[in-house]
Amino acid sequence: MLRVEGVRFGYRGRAVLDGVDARVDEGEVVGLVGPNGAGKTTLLRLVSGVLRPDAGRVLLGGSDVSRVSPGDLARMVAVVPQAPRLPPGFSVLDLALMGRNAHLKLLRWEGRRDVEAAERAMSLTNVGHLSDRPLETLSGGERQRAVVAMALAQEAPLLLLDEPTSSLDLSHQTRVLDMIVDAQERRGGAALAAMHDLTLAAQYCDRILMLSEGRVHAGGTPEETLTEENIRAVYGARVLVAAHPHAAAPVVLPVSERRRAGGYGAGSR
Amino acid sequence: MRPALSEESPTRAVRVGRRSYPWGRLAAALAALAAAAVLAAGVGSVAIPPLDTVKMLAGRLPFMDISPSWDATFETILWELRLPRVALAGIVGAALAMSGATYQGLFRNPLADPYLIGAASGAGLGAVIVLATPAPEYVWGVSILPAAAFAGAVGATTAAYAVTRSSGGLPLSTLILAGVAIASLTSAVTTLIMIRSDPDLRPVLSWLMGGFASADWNDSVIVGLYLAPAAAVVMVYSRVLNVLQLDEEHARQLGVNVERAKLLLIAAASLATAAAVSFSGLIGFVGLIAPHAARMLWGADYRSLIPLAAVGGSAFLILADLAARTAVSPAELPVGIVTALCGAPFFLYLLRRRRSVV
Repeated sequence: MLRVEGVRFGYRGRAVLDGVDARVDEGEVVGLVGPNGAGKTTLLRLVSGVLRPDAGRVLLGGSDVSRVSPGDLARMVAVVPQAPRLPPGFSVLDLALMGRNAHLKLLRWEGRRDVEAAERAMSLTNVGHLSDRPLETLSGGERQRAVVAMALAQEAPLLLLDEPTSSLDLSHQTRVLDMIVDAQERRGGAALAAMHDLTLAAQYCDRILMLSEGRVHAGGTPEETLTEENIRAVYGARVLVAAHPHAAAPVVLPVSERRRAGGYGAGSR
Repeated sequence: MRPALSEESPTRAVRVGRRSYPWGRLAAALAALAAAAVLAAGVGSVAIPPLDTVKMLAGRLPFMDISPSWDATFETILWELRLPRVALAGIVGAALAMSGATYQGLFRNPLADPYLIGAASGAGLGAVIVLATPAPEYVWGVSILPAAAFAGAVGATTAAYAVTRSSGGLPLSTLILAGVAIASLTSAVTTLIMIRSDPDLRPVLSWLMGGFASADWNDSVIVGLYLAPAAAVVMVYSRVLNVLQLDEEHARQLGVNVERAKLLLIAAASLATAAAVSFSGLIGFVGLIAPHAARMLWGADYRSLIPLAAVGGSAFLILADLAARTAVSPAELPVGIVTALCGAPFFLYLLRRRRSVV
């Protein structure tokens, strides 16, 4: 479905992505991990067509993203941005219906089919009861679910997520991710998600792509990628990787340098 | 795909009524506009009772046979003096409110107004270049005044847009500061041109002050001809204008051709501003007050906001012009003073209320 081939990209001469290859197949959930500045958001922006690669290609369903019109592209990829601007005065339903834009001709307003698609997306993300609520009155978790509803209403086979849980508290993190993975599974869609929390990424992703300074450091199943060596090399952090007691996924535990050394001031490096 | 850990998310039935267009509100707004027009047409040195005004208007309709029961001079006063003025004020008010609403949507800034962002002064500069320099005023018998004003408005809007765009995350007030600078610059150039040109500046000066004293039916027709295509573009793009409220990158990811939408919307709003400025000079704050009133009363959706703001702006400017010509009768105030007296405090109120958000 998605192929990223040798993509390079730089802002003002500073290379952000330096020869990245990646792929996402039908029905897959792929996690994008790496420290801040590794190029996760840039890669997502290249895939959604708002940036053009300096070299290399991004192919979606076989066609080059930089040659596809915004409307055609939006029918293939939907995006959940990290910190979307939600306009005051519009309701949750209004927002979900904006997700239908790519399916509407310029002169057409939303019809029954679009309202139905928006309602389906809202009930998947459990904001159906908030339909008429103005966006500025929503809590953080409700906002995030409303934005996901808009992206799902777009009915694109590939969903891009940029840190979908970064603004959520613990209970909402798993709830929102469950809901996204459920929804994509039901529709046979795929997802590419930049994620901060490695343990969460391990639980939800079929494959993980670990970026470091604009290059792919490792890729594969969570077990293959989320190793203590890889994480130390990419994040420069000492961690313990253990088996999840209830799920078939590795758990990444941060390890304090202080504790290991057994007290204050005793440097362990 | 890994199994999800939670229970099935409950599929709640979503209750949504048919999303219908607020025709009732539009009809109510139009009725208020008609009432304002009848009132304004009746007030003056010769008072015409509103009922007579309505009868005279109805009498012009086909198949309406109303025997005249009013003073014959009423007819002349109404058709030759009062109504042309009311019509021009109304159509200019609609143009300013529509371009104000469009600029607010385009800049995602509730403080935008054709006057405050410098578009109106840009249009004024364009018009003064034609009026006060040896540049020809007519080409093939058609006045190029609106075209010059259009060029000025587009230039000023583009400058304001470029400043706010390159300043990225700066607060909303940047746009207004840019507008102040652009307006100062254009009015300085305007003054310079006027000083260096023909010694008789009175017509240019009185035009710049703004007003409808010399209105005739033709003016309304010409403003309408410019307003119609602008209104068509803005209404066609009104749904896209909603999506643009997210932000430009997000709108693009939702399938909006952002560059084309912006180009057409800037052109349409500038055309409406230019048409208004060409015939009535610089009148501020109509484009701020009317969209805000419509938004507060009836919601933020641009598909209904734009027509409701246009009707509201029309009624507001008709009443402002009524105040301008009756407050210090027999003298007249420039109508821009009346709109500023209403609009500037409102602007300050918005600024204060928005401070937490900006």
